[in-house]
Amino acid sequence: MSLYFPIAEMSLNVLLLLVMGGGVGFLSGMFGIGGGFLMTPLLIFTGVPPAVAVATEANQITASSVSGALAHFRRGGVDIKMGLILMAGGAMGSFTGAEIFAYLNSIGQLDLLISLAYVFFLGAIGLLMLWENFTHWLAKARGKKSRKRRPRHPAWIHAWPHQMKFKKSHLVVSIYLPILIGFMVGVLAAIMGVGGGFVMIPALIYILGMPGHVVVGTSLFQIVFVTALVTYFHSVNTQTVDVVMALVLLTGGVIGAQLGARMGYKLKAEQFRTFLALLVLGVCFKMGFDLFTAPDELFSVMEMAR
Amino acid sequence: MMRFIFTLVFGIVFGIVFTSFALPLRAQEIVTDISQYEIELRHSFTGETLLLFGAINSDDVESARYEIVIAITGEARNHLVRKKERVFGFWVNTEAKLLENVPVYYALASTRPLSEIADAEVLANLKLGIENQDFTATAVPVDYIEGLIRNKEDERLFAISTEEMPVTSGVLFRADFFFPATVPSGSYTAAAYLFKDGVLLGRTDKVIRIDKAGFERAVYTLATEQPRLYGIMAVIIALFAGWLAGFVTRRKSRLG
Repeated sequence: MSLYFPIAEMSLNVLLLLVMGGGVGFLSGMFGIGGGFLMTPLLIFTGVPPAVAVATEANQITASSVSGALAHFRRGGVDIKMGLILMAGGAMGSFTGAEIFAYLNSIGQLDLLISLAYVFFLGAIGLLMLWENFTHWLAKARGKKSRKRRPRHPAWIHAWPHQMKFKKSHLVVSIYLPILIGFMVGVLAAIMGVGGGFVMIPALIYILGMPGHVVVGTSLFQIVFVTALVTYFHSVNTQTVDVVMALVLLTGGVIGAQLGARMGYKLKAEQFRTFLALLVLGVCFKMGFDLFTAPDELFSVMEMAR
Repeated sequence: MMRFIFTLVFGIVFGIVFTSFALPLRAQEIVTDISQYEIELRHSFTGETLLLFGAINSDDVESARYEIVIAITGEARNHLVRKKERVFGFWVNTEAKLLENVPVYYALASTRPLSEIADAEVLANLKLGIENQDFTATAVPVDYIEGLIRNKEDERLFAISTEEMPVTSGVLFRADFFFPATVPSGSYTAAAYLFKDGVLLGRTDKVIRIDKAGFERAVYTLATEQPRLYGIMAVIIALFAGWLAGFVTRRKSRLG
């Protein structure tokens, strides 16, 4: 069953999109990942223009994060003060990212930036995951209990001005630090169509030293806000948000996430982590490969507005 | 003696519509009609086929060989053509050229290849064929123009039919034109030309209106004309759909 998507300006098989949404949703349910960094490349591989893939995926992440954010909020798993400051940085970052996005789109270099960003981040994440699995396996083989390194925040962050107290997180840090983290994640969200949890969560733990029970909730809280802003900015600047496609992907994603969460309880997710790492590296490789191989058609056409 | 007055307009709209016309104005002319003057591209469609049909109105159709050319032309717009080149191993867009007045759509069907119907000069004067469109006569390097044509052909926005359009009983002709879902809305000209021995005898023009219909049109129009409102609505829809999905799955898991 083909459906015409008005913003992507193409017909796509709805079942294919549902399966893609379902597959990525399954993985995110199982591993607790956002999935944007897999979904956007998948959309690009099916022929959706990269700009539309990024903006549409930001829209979908807003939808797929909202119920999780609410659940954490009800449980008291959100440091609201920290969340608001991260958002302030995220707002500036997503605005900046969307401006860069629109500028590169106008000079025809946007697709290149999106591909390069994905090759870099997917490569880094995939290798880190593989390394973590490897050291975990090595420790096990040596008969030692694998122990997560305790988060410790580096001493230099206390040298920054305008220290602020975050009661919920039992922290005193410079206000500029969360603003900076929020800003970087906002830029990534706008350019890559991701929630940015894969950068935000490690940053909150290892740089700020936030306690685990508020990290995921606070990150989700800011992701909903930042991807909503990204959706708005891309709608205004480049008209690349396809709401219809986002809703189809969400439908598949919700079903997949349910199944994935159930599987995650039953199976040892650790066995599948290597699989996830290889999948991430595979997508990275395909993205990079496409940059290096000669395209079939060297010329591309853009119709100018009247 | 008006023994051979063919004033038949033969229409097949879903196979049933027939219409008759009366009396020609000249001895040789061409009468055409179109299955639909308004095409609505709906969200579930991948495109729409338009049937253009007509009749040659002449008293010597049995002895003379008439040739017919039908051209459908969309509105002219400026197109930016980008070229990819290898830079440090990467294939990157490098230069871009602006091509002015490129028809958004150009389709052509004819009873024989154009070059066999009339001289190049005649075809150029009538602007028949892609190579006779205004945009090809610019200072832009040829590879950009060819690149644009290939892109347009891939998207089926430029379509030169290689099949010979059949003429039934020497009088009736018909041709199908495909409009992919990506055609912009606007008015399109359908022109039919009647040739005999390389000379133009008659021409008729019709205007077709293409609209993007229903839901798909509403989404597209809102996104391009009210981008702020569209953005806010996209966010609200996502928040609501996400909340709803969470609500439904939570209920389900509580029951199950």
